Amino acid sequence: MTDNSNADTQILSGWNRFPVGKTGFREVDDLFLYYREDCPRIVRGNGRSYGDSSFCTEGVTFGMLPRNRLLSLNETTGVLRTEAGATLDEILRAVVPRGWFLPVTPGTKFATLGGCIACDVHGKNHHLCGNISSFVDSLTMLFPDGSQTTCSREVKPDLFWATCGGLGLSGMIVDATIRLKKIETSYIQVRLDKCQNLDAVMALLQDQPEKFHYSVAWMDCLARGKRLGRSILMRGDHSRREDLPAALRATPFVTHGDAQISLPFDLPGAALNPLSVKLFNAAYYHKLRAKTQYHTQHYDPYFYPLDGIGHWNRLYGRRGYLQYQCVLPYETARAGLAYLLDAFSGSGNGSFLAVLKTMGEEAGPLGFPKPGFTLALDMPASGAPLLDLLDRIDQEVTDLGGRVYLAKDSRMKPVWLPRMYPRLEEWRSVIRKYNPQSLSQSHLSRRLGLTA
Amino acid sequence: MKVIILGSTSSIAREIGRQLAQPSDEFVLIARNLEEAGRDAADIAIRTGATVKVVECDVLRFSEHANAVTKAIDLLGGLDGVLVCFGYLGDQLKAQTDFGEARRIIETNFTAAVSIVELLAGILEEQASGFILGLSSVAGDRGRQSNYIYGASKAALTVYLQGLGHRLAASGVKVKIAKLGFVETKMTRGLQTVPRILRATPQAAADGVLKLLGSRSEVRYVPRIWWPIMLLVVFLPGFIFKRTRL
Repeated sequence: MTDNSNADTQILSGWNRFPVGKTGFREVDDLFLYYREDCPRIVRGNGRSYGDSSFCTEGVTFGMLPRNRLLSLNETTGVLRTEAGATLDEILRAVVPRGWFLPVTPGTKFATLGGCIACDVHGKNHHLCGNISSFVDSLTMLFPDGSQTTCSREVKPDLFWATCGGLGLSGMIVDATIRLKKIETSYIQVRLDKCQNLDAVMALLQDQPEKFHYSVAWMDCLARGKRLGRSILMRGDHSRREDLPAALRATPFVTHGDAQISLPFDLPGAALNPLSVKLFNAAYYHKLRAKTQYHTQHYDPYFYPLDGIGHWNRLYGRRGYLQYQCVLPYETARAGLAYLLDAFSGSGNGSFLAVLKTMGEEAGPLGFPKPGFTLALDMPASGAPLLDLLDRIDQEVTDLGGRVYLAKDSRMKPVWLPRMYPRLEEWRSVIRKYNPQSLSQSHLSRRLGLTA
Repeated sequence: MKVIILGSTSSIAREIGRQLAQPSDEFVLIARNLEEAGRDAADIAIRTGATVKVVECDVLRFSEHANAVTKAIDLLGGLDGVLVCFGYLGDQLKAQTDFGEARRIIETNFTAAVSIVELLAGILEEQASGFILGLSSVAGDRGRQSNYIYGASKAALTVYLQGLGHRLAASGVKVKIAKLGFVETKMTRGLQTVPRILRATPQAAADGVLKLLGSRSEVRYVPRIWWPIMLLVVFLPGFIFKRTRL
């Protein structure tokens, strides 16, 4: 542990609070703070990823939230340049009133733009638009030795692609220039479809994928037998002015407000158990009475349903939870998804949050998405049996040609990494080129031997 | 509203700008670092829709103040309010042996304020409207060993603004003083002197400052918890106080 006496020692984790680690923490008020010490370091945004990519137990974690200034917005082209610590929440509040939206957004608006780029996040439109990197025009990078550089698809593309999805291990993203999406209103035209089982939802997801801009399915992952994989498919498009009911048409660009409710304390560990989750899932599935339903919904509950509950991670109690997200290629997806659902529902790990999407083309060497289906599940961090189960699942996923999303990973073993990410060596050589002293490290990179 | 923010690169000033500015407002940011001020200006303009410009001025160069004020007023075409946000915490131990450091603390926090605020006060007095709000500190309530030179300069600032408020009352110009407790900013970075529960974020500080602006009060402790704390500190008998390590 380095002597960084001015850094405040804190216990940090990802949003799921598993694992946790002790680290020296320092806010980056001035950039020179990042490069004046000689110690392992990682950059942290708002800590909304799961797992341990955003803290460094062997050195210093640098907090980017003070670096959140919006630097320029071209109101004709929608090109926005901003410091990397700006959250999507802050960006939306500034750009929505002017008729712009994020081209790709993850499931929380409280992530920083830098964090989103470091994870190369995908949203409900990956099958059509790809990751957020598709809309990043350039990045300004700062390295532990104090040097700065710009990179993009044309300038130092190796650094650009190692950074998008590189989990902060290529250096600090200081600022980013992105292309926003023009919108006519801040609403979404939503179509909900009840799907009785896995085959039904997979078929519907693949039926005319270009017809809806956004699509995602909530899945009841505890349903078994012929109901295995029953889901509600939620597809959507940005509402045009004429789609809105008259009452909303007068003020088409309404931004979101603050969370109205908040969980004031951790729930006891047993709150989310197989029974309670089964009941919740059944109620949620049957809440949709008709087979198909249409309505107009504000972007906030459509894209960020959980953001509305402050500290919702407390639902899982103090021991935290895990999220397992993997992608399976189209060819093996049916078998893989059935295996996953069976494994999870059989193990007694209740998850009320299971999400299925389709994915399009790959991006950078450490990027997660590839053509196929992705399933994400949350489960309480219950101990060794769950970890063993997940190890077995990793094996199956790898054998089926799939991979795990590192931005959500808390516990995977390094052995699967080379098969899951075949371009790993290519990525490592770029990291070594720009970080010869290997000072960028995180708890995750250590655990997985990412930069080794 | 036409507002000048003095010392705009302060973490708290940035948050005040973001929370205060409305689309119809015009702000001028006065700061020593033009590039940083430019970024702050762009940020406030994008977030709020206000028009924001910058003027470069080092508050320790007293002879530059008149020029900076004229430039700012010209850019705004008028004036409705002034926020005094610049400050220097300094190093107490260093200041005890190096008068240059002590002088810097005193001149930044007090002398520079007197110089530039008097210029602006005159303008507001003449037009008989407007406000001046200064960021002072709870450290000015009682001198204590860990920061008495800083505390003294802030105490001086507080009294100065009180007197100015008295003078300007007749013309309807409001003068307000925010007594800030510990705020996590660039200035206090690295300080471990205050337990974490008492540390405020710049957003919370800005929130309290705006409440002061919108109220009829002259003084406000920000956050409010500092009022009972300082009441205790101020009335603690000397023989007990001297035994503390405060």
